Amino acid sequence: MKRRNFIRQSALAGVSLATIGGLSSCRLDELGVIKLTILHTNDVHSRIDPFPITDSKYPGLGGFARRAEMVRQVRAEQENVLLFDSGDIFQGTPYFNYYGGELEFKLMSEMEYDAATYGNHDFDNGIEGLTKQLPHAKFPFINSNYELNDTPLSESTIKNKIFEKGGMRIGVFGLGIELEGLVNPKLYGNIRYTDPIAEANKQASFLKNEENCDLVICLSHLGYDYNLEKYNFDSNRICDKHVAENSQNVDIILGGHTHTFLDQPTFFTNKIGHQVMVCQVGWAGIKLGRIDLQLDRVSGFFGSAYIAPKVS
Amino acid sequence: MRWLWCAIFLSACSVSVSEYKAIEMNDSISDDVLSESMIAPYRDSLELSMNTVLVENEISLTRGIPESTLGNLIADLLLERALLEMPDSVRPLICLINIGGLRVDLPAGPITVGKVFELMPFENELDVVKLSPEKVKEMLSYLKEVGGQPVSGMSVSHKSGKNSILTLDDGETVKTDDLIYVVTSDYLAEGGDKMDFFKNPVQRIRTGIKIRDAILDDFRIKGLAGHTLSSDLDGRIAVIKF
Repeated sequence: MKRRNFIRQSALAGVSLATIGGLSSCRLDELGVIKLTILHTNDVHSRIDPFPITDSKYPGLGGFARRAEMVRQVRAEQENVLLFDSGDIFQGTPYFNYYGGELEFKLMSEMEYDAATYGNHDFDNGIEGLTKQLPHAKFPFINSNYELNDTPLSESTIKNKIFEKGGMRIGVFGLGIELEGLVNPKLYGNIRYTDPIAEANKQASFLKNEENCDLVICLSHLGYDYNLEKYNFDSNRICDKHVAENSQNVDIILGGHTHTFLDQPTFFTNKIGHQVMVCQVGWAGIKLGRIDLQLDRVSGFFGSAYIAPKVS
Repeated sequence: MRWLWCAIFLSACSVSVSEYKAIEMNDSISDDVLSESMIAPYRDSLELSMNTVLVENEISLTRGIPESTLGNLIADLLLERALLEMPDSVRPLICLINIGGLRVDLPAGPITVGKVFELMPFENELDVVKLSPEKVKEMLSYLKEVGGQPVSGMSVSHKSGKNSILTLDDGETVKTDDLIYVVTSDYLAEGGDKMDFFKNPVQRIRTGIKIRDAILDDFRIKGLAGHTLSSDLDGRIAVIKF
């Protein structure tokens, strides 16, 4: 109730400011709409160059320089753009074996990534190997469910971050996969994994109810859905589907780890009957995910129930 | 053609529209000039490293079953490395890997670092798994069923209608109650390629050594010593038909 009141008040205030002074950074059009474009990648795995033209599966696809050009074009057209990565930036080509991830971080910084979360392969050169490269990353790493107190990552990792775009507040938190059994313990050292669902609810409630975010985004490296046949050996692992269904206040999950190509997002119903949008764009930078959202200030905030009519 | 969403607000009183696209990064998109200029020096330097010659290869080494020249070469060098890394208590030690994990044949001529990356693009590590006699039996049945995989430190003979016999290279036949250490990849140790007998072992030791690094080290050392690569078929996996 309190939340709803706040929205109504702030929404009206926003509109009147824009209408009267025309000075609001919100840039509301006459309908009171703010547009936001979210771009996302996951599991790029050091694929700096496109796949060779001779590749049997992805001939000539991917490449950082191309992605940078696409991001540049979107930024030129859209006022409010956010760019995220959901982990496993490292490992997969000799670029990582030889340079340890330096070039990946430099290029992502040049593209002005807003944030990333850790994937299991980002620990492949140990916590030290990752820490050594972090100065090249001019964007924050967000993880909410790893306890990092006893590691060099504690100072360089944040639990959440709020982005302000065109007057709207977008809260972002991050979830990492259980590293035990997946990564050599020598590499992840004292990182302690905690329950991602509990942490998701804690972070999302904080961001939406206390920080009054209009939209809450989860950067996840948990994996899409292990109950699919391909992953039946791992069906107990917590995945994005579980987080979506057992959460409230999470609007969008930008996922990774399972290299799932979702050409369109999947929607899951959360604890209180609202729809949560789950996205993942395969791997290797073959695709760049783009979400175009509209925030209607008069009615309140981003909806999280979506109907998907097909328009040709 | 586009997909559009109508976003119904939680307050259920208003509708907005949003759209999702997974944009393919293909050659219709040009390269960002600055990014490309940042990549170029790394790419050039990497190419130099990848073109570094490690060793000369005498004859084309190929993959196949029940045994193969390439499979034998790699299994032998991995066993040799594990024997160096493991204490004397980790014996008897044999090696079993999968031929599918070796991604290309090695042509005759100079073998470069890049070729080893092609041969072993994965980041798999060497593990040592201690198997019970029951698991060893399962391993032999598996080898019979799939028609062979690269092995080292042992030979196996399958006779139709009889139990397969595993003979260690020192001539000992493995008896029914012997425990045995097997060096393999972490991928297989977790049951990859249907090697279920590796699951739930008596003991599993992780060396932390990447298989590719073990191959690179071996080739480099042979090259520096003036040796060439060579490998023979020696009947280590034999199917005896009567």
